Amino acid sequence: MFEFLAPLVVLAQEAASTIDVTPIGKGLVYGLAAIGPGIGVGIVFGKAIEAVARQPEAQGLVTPLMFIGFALVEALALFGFVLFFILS
Amino acid sequence: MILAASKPFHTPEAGELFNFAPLYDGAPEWLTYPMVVMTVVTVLVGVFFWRAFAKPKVVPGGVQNLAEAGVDFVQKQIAFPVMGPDVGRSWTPFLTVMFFWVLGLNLVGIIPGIQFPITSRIAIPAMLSGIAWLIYNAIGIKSQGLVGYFKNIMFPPGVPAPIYFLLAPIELVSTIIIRPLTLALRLFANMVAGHLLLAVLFIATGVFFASGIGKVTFLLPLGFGAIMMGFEIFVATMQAFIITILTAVYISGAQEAHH
Repeated sequence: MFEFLAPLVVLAQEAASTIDVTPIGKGLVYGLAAIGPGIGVGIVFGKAIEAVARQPEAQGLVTPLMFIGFALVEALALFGFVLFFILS
Repeated sequence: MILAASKPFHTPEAGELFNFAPLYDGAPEWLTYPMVVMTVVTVLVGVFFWRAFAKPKVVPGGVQNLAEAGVDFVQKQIAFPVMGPDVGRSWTPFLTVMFFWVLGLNLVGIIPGIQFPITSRIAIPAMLSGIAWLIYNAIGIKSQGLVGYFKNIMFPPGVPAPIYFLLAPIELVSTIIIRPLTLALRLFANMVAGHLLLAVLFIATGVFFASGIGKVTFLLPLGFGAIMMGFEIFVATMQAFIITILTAVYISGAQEAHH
């Protein structure tokens, strides 16, 4: 029923055996890995700023928590960065 | 338009920007340009603090004033908010040295002539994070006992019991393995990315200027490079601050017995 797609499949198979997609993969690894932590770090610091704006006396309590949260969220982005170098 | 380049442009690999050969033929393997710069920066930081506090006066002047402002910054913004006044005072020397040393090593990345941030080689961040890892684990074990330390990491109080199956391995790996890795990698990645960006922009400036593509096309990467140098100053300071305050947070987190 789908015989008209056969030449397309042959073309894709030939291309798959000769095109080196490793650089595309390497670029995608960090690019996609940076989306979530980017939003996450924005949320963490935004909430901390809101908390201090509502109650400036809370800055001493909020600041260490903010940095702990930031360290955990940014870890995910750093994994992507490391994978870029690990991938051959 | 005839290109004025004498030979085709050879894109440098990332390794060429970061790996340095020994200074002269026959030099020992470790005697490279970054090692010399790092030694000079370390000696300068030491001499700065020595000159400031060798003969301290009650009314500071000159170098002592500047160094006191620096120590005050570390004490009031990093040590006291995170660790409290009494514990913070005893950790201030360590945190001050860490902050100013990392700041110096980062800032040489934008000083014209030495434009290579020493912390873009993994050795320095790895050493700093290894030291921080040893310190916060040792302090945690000393203040809470070996079993109590791991119990407090893996089973933080105030969590419904079935969640512990999920939480304990995640917390253990996160505290013992992920923390030192990300502490080192954060500084390393920021400095590598900044150096690569500046290198690409200034190489582009040179290539545009030499090949004469447009009369003034080279001004575009040059201007952007100038803006990026300002941004690199900010990133250098921010990364030094972050690694110091995170070390302080980890130490203080290991010191208090979670109650």
